Amino acid sequence: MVDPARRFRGVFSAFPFPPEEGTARLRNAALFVVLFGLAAYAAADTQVSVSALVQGFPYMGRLFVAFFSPDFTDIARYAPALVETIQMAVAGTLIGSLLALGYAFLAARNFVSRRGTLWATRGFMNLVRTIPDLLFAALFVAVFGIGALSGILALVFFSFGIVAKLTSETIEAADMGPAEALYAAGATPTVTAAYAVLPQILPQYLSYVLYVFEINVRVSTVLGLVGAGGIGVPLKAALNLLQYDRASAILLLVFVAVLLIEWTSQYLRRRLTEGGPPAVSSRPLGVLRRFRAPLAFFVVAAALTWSFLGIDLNTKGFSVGLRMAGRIFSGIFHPEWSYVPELLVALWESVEIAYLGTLLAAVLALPFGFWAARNVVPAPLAAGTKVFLSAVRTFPELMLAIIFMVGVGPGAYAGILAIGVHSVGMLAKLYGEAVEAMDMGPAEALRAAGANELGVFRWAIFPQVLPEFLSYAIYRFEINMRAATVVGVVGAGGIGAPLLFALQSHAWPRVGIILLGIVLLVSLTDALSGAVRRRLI
Amino acid sequence: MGTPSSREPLVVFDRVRKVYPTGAVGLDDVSVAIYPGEFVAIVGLSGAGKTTFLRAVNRLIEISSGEIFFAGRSVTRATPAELRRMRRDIGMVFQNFNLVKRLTVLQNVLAGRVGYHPTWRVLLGLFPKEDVAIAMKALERVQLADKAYVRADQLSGGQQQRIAVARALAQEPRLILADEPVASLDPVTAEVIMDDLRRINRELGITVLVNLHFVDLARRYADRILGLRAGKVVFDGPVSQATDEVFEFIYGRPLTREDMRTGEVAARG
Repeated sequence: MVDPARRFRGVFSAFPFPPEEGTARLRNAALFVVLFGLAAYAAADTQVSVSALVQGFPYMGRLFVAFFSPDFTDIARYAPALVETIQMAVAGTLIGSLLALGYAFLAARNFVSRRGTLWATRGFMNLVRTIPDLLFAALFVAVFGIGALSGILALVFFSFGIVAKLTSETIEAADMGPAEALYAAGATPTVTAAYAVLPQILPQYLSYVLYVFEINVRVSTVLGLVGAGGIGVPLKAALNLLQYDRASAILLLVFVAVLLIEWTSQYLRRRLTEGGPPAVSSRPLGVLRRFRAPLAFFVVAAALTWSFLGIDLNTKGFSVGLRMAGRIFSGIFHPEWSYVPELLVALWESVEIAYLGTLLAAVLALPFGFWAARNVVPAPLAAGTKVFLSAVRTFPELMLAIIFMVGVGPGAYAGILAIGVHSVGMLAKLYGEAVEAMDMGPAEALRAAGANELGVFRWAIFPQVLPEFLSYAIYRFEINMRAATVVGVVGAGGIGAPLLFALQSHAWPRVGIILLGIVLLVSLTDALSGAVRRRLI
Repeated sequence: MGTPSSREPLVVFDRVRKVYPTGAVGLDDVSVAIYPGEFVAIVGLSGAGKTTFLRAVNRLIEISSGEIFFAGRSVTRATPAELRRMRRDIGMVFQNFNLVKRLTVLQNVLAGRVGYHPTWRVLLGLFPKEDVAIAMKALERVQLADKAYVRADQLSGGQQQRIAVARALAQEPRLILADEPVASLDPVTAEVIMDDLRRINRELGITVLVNLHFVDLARRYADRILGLRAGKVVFDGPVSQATDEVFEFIYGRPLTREDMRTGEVAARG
């Protein structure tokens, strides 16, 4: 045996690592320096300054005071807009999800064997997923004009992308035994899909639909900020007129509606995925069960009909829109290449916003994540933190961007703060869940060895959760990259503003090159982040 | 080892009671003294209070009444800082090993040294060279020095438990508490762990208090048997006196195959 002490001479003598790991540690240190160097550069570039934020506090404070004294006098007037918002979410979710169900089979490896077909179907699906919901909305507003139709179409595409992707993954994981039996009996692929695979994936599919519906309810409240209908329209009007007390009343209304819908949906999802106890087999319900399929059809049809009631579809706009869409397509296929240098500058600003926003959130989420974990803090504190975090999540980035712009002025800094604060809601919740799933044994062992609370944290808790924390933060960066292309729409920096101007001035070749840039940037981010996360855990 | 009465006891339980919030009685008026260098097995059915007894020693469990002393000082009335200082001198081995699986073996063993250093050093992970030497020596004692830089989750259950023993050793403790250390291991591995504990006891003079469910292991390794039933000490004596009848008295029923690690009931006599 080599004298252990002798193995630890030199630079790394104090570290519990063998000398041959020195290079790995150097590499880690270098990576750390690069990441923080980049953060410092980006912070300087986007004029991040604590003093600006502090100086902005009085202005935001006035806004907050107004927010905490909501003016409910006109609240009944907003009811139609709220209903329209929910109608948009229902219509967008249902249409998008129904399209996605059929499409998912075309994108599943166990149903389509032709490489070329798969490449095309999956390619389209992934392309749809790279474009953020609000960009779809801005695009459709440019094509079909201001109104709910644009909002619905945006949600259709957005829902389609998510549901198709998740469902095709579920189909690929399905048991193909029953399908083989049907094929052996001479069934066509369509019949096989309907009778052998659909029953298997249905609960998950419905759960995805509800999940997307929850997202869509949140999203549809901000679609109005780009003119795509719903409660966002009066909200934007109130904000533009600096009537923060009214804006606050609207936000509270939205908050309550979103929470109610979310609780219902999450309850249903739990029932779906856990299988749950079969519905009470009393006789009337038994009858209901027998007519389940026609009943479901009727419910979906009724929901769709209701969601289109009172929405001005404006068919004239539709025919004009189709002509517009043709021009957009020709613009996309004839992009304005000379715009590339400016495009790169704006895209880079979006990258900086996403990066700094994620970094801010990853740091802020640390304490909140631990405060949200039942196994490290008292149960009431954990429950309270969880409620607080879900309240933070209901503030969309765009809303926060508008609020922060009051404090620090328009520009990338407001976007960074908005994305950072909004992301804390989700990131801290995931952190908390990772902490709750952790093995508490090592913590007890460290305590028994005489470690204080910080020692327990450093040597028993931190090493267990660090990879998960990093993985979630990187995943959040993917989401924030999309958000960072959008916050510019309200003036909070990045590529959003140039895109909005190009759309409003009908400069389609420029819209084309910007969309191309966004799609490439988001795809690149996804690929990179996926590769890093696979290596982490 | 000298006669117990001639030496200062290392651990003293003075009329200790533990009643859980549910009303369950963990320890019922327990008064016991453990002497330096002893290898004591605590036996009894599950729920008899074995785990409560062990965890009361280093105050992982707060007792309801009575007082516990370690090396002449009150554990029960110790301040948090004093308690940490005492815990540093008491190593503990758990049924589920309680290693951080994503850290290396050496890092896990070094974690046993955290009680010796100021917080900033612990947070930065700056363990002095002597600590690394102590940790390596502890690993050598369980014959796993060659695994020092392997991640803990790469090892078998038995190897992980030996790492946990090395972590306890790295504390340079006066006492090692082992809570069902072999309950999740196969019979052969169980003996390796018990052999390690016995060697530590004999060669380093570290007192060992171990909870055991199995009659044959308790008989083979311990000097002294402490029998618990419903929170009461119903037997306390040298292993030579712990006959099958005594075990049946402690367990309150005839011995079965399940009471033996090897699965065989020893011949009576």
